[in-house]
Amino acid sequence: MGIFETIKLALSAIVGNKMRSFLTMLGIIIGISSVITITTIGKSIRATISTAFNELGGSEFYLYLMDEDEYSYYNGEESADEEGEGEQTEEYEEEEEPAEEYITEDDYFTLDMFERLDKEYPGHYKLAVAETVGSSKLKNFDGKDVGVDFVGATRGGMESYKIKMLSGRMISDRDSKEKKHTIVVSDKFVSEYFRADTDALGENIEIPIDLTGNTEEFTIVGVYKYTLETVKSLMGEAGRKTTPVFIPYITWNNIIGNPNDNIGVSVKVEWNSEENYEQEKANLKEFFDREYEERTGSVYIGSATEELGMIDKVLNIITLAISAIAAISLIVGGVGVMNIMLVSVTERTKEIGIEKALGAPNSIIRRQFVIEAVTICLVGGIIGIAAGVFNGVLIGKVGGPTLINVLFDGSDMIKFTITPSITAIIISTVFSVLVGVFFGFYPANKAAKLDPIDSLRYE
Amino acid sequence: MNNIIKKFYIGKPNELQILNGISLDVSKGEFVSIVGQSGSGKSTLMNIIGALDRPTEGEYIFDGADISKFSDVELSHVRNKKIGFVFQNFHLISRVNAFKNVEMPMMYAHLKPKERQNRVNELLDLVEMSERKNHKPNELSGGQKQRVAIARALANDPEIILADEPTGALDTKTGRLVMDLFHKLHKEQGKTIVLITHSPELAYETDRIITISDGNIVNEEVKNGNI
Repeated sequence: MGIFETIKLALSAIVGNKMRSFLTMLGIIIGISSVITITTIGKSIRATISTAFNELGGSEFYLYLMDEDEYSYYNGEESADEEGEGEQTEEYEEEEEPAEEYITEDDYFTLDMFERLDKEYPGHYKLAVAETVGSSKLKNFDGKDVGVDFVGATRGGMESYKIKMLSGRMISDRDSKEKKHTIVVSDKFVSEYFRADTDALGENIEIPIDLTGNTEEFTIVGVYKYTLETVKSLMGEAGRKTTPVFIPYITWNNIIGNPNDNIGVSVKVEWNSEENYEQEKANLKEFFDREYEERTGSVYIGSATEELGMIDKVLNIITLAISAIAAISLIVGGVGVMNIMLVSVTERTKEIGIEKALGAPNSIIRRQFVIEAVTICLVGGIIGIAAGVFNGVLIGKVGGPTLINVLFDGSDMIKFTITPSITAIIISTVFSVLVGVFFGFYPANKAAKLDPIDSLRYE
Repeated sequence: MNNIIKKFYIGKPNELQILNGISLDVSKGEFVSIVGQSGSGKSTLMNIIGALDRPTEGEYIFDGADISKFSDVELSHVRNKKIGFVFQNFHLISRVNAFKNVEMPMMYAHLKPKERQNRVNELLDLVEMSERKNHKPNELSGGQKQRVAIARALANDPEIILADEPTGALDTKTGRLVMDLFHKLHKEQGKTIVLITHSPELAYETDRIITISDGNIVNEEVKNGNI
């Protein structure tokens, strides 16, 4: 009997008793569909986040200035551990300076640092600052109110938010250095504030900066395209009547009376994605370690890649856990298959006797039953894969948008991509076959060893 | 070509010694019957002749080779190619139709699909069961089933056909038809047939009658003239 014939016979046996076959396969179906569901979801999450990070900021480092304690915590170092061993720790502590110093404004990042950084690694890094620092209202030519949100920015920051310029230029590094009162407004602002057909470039506007009537004069150096997406990503929400306007971050500091040229404790740095990630990160770390030798605090460097890595780790753990449980289900399913095969062998004792009388060698009998077991498991596996993909897609369609809402503030730019894991599908198929071979072998062997004379007599 | 089957056994691989030293031979083209009552050991003898079982002692020279020492695999080849069984209870595979039943031994013999198809049709014609070749056994009468079984027994053109009470489950008329078929195979095709039966009447239709009782051959008769 050819293998193909045997498979056909096995399939007809499965179809011939659908309920029994289904119950036999159930363990396998459940096991495999669980694995496929979780791997589909996991892969989809990974793919979506990966694309999103690439769209939004795959090539960015986040620099955080931290106290020693905080830094040690984030880096997972043990030197900040208080549970040391007795004397050794005391000695160590005596030699070291007490880690009691905290960062002050003097220690904050400054523009100078990044200038030095650019000198050392020209073109590799770009400081990207774009923070909302306040809001205000002006009266337009008609006396109506026009609302603005100040965004303290650097050129790198405007670029990282993919601001589309319609005319003029973005905030420049020189504006920042010289604390110029330059401003980049939106086309929405222009149409609201100025009379129609006014060329806003070069115009001076006075904007109140506090409630006591103090104003500051700004020169418009550029007009950008107002889009809901830009606003959403800058402000966190759209639907405000105000419009974002960009001024140099340092200028704002100046205006509100901050004497330092600092830019805070957390900054975003864009790096040239053609360079090597590890190298760029190492260079950056080394540079800032040097900068902060004399200053208090340590610089922690994070990136989307690292966060992706962490998400990956979590997903992997979850996938492994579920796969382990699924493996148990597969084993139970396999035992079920073995049980049914044993019943089958007993039911077909006479038939086996006849086949042997006709000259079927034991090996053929054995092979017949193994193939039957494998066929059952394979069909169960295929059903499980189909169910798993279906579940994965379903959960993805329902849960995907929720996830995007949570992670990306409901950005429209990101779509949840659903991709099943082909690797998991292939492995599951192979596993189904293996379960069939393993659990089918014992019954098949029993069948092969039946005595033909006794079998023929069996009723 | 002379094809002599010589057998000589003592005993049987069971605790009970069922056969007490049987010695007989069957020549090619003979129609032989082995007669005995229940418990005479004729079934055991048939199992040994049919290579379903091995004698505990002795030789079984079949078609030139002593198959009493053959391995299980070798025996299965002998059964497949050289022996054709016809059982009292037909023993057809109920899951498949008549055509497939006849085809089965050919599949074990690794015949090609086209060869198998031609031969099955030939054999079904011979036993006049062509019309019902797609029927399953449960759709056939007893006589029809036995005819299919005979076609199956002829599948690989065996040296010998072993028929164990082939008419036992049939009525007189159908049983007659089956016996006539055996005679036809013997006369027209020169087939060697060994018939096992408890009925002396049936035995007398054959050329040589071997009577067995309590594990021994007690009589051997050769008939003169044919039916």
